[in-house]
Amino acid sequence: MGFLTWIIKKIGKTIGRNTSSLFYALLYREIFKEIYEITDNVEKSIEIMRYVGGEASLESLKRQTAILKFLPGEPDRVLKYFEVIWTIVFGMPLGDYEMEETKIEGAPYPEIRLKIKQCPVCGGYGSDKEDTVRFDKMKKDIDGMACGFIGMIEKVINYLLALKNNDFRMKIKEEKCFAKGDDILQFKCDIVSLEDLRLEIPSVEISEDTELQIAAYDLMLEEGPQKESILDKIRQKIDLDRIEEFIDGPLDSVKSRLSNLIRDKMHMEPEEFFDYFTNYERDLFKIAGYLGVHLLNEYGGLVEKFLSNNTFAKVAGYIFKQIQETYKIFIPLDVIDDYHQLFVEFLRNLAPEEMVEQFELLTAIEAADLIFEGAQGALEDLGINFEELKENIWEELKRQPPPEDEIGLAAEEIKGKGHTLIQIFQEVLMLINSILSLPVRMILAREHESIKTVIESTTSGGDVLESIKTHADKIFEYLEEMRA
Amino acid sequence: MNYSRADLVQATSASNQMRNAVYHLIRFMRREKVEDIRERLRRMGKNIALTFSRYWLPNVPLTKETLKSIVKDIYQTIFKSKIVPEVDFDKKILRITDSKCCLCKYNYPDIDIAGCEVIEGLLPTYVDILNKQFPQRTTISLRPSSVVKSKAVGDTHCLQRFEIIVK
Repeated sequence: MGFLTWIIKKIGKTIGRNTSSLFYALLYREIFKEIYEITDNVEKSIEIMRYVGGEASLESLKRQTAILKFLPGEPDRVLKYFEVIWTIVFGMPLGDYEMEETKIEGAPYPEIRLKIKQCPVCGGYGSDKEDTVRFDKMKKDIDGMACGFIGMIEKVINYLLALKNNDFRMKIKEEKCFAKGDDILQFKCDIVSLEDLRLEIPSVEISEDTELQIAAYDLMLEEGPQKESILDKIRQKIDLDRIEEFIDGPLDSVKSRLSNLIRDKMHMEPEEFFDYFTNYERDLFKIAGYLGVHLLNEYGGLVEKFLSNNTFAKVAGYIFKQIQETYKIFIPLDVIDDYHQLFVEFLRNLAPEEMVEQFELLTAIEAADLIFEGAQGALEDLGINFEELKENIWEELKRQPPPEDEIGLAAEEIKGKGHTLIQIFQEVLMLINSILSLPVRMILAREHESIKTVIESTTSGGDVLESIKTHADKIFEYLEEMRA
Repeated sequence: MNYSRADLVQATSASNQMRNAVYHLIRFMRREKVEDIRERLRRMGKNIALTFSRYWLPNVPLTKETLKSIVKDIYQTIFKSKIVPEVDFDKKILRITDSKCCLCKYNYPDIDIAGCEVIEGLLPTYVDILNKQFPQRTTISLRPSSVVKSKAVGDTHCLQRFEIIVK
């Protein structure tokens, strides 16, 4: 369970009014018994209990719309949050459960079955003489005792789908029930389009008996708001599912996006795509550097425009060469190595194993040098002629002709004076470079370590999240104690 | 393995949906032209007490001195609610003020019967069972009287009244 899911469950449980779970179960039983006594018909009672549960849930949902909007709005993704929905509806842990998906040919969504090991409404049912309704004598193909509960859950999911303007709704059926003698509680979830649901209605004969059925359809067909606020649009982009994905595994999230991109655009599996580059691992780094510069230029062709001026191109060329030569002084090797490791981890399970091994064999410095080599190629394309450049900018300055006002002085004297001045200037700059390299390395290393520590502890189930969970758990416990 | 009723006594559940469900049941009963809705709600409470008491019962005999604390204990264990009980043995009235009643929270303009009528049925039954468990020379029992105030009908808190019978 993700951290955000956990926190939402805790908040949901703490905010709501709580009673003993046995009182909840017995009140549920009594409501069903009253309905059954009035209708004297099991099937109709189940239908009404479902409706009552759905209406009860809808009432709360309308009060808590803002929180719900953070849940994902696609039927299959919303079921990933079944545990949260269960907790919101029931306020008790779901416990062990299994989700089984069956693909249906031609259908956009699979058929989903939820197998729940513990049911609070059926818990202990049949052991007391007040348990008068015999669910075990009911037909197998109709819902069981959890019918009202299903009404609640179905309503939460469909309200959410309507809220997110989704064109699908979920129909849940209770296939197995403890009170009917089964050993689990099993829900079958069918994802149906609004269009199909609308077609089902005319087939229902409208009579007094089917009044509730029609009302239930009305609730299911309820449409979401036509106007969306900016906040709604943001929530569509960053729903709980996506935030959770990012917190739990930022690398996995990027990996999955890249995989989807390769599948969509290249029409091939990521491994197949990366396989084209097997044995060309070094070139991949060069390509990364090359594409990096070209991508930078994509923003209005600014790099190319800047380099179209010969002087600017030369200055940029010298700066690039300077960086290429001095990055090792300024950036600690550990930092470079960490990024190299991150890259290798990123490729794991995405690229062929052989390729990942090759990348691991390359040293971090080698990889960085290859990236620079690729970037140099791109800069050449954009206007820098590296062949024209001297060893360093000082050599370039030495080549400049003497100023006009100095013409007349002895050529040798000017040459000697200029050369010495440049050499002094160059040495002073190199000295500043060396002096600055130490604090810069310290700052970079410190910042890198700080970020690394935070990321490691939040993404790999590290101590920070665990500690937050432990303390938050205690706060929620105390809050519950205070409220009790 | 599924829960047993004993497991469920100490566990807590969010009561929001079930509270709402009680009012939808009342609406359903009205639609079906049921006339004794109040009595039915009290009967529900009675049945709940009969079952619940098999899994939990205060471990103290009911006397004039213990009535208040036992009532508090019952509300705390079953409804997780802190109440203020007022006992008047002269007028033979027990008044319970519950500002966080688990069955009433919102005002429903279409409703004139409070959900806590269920409690009017539950508490006297619980007291009767306790008396059977710990027989006393002087027996104190309760009889449902009325829900004087309820959040469901627009009041700021719930006030349940019971008649005290001393034998």
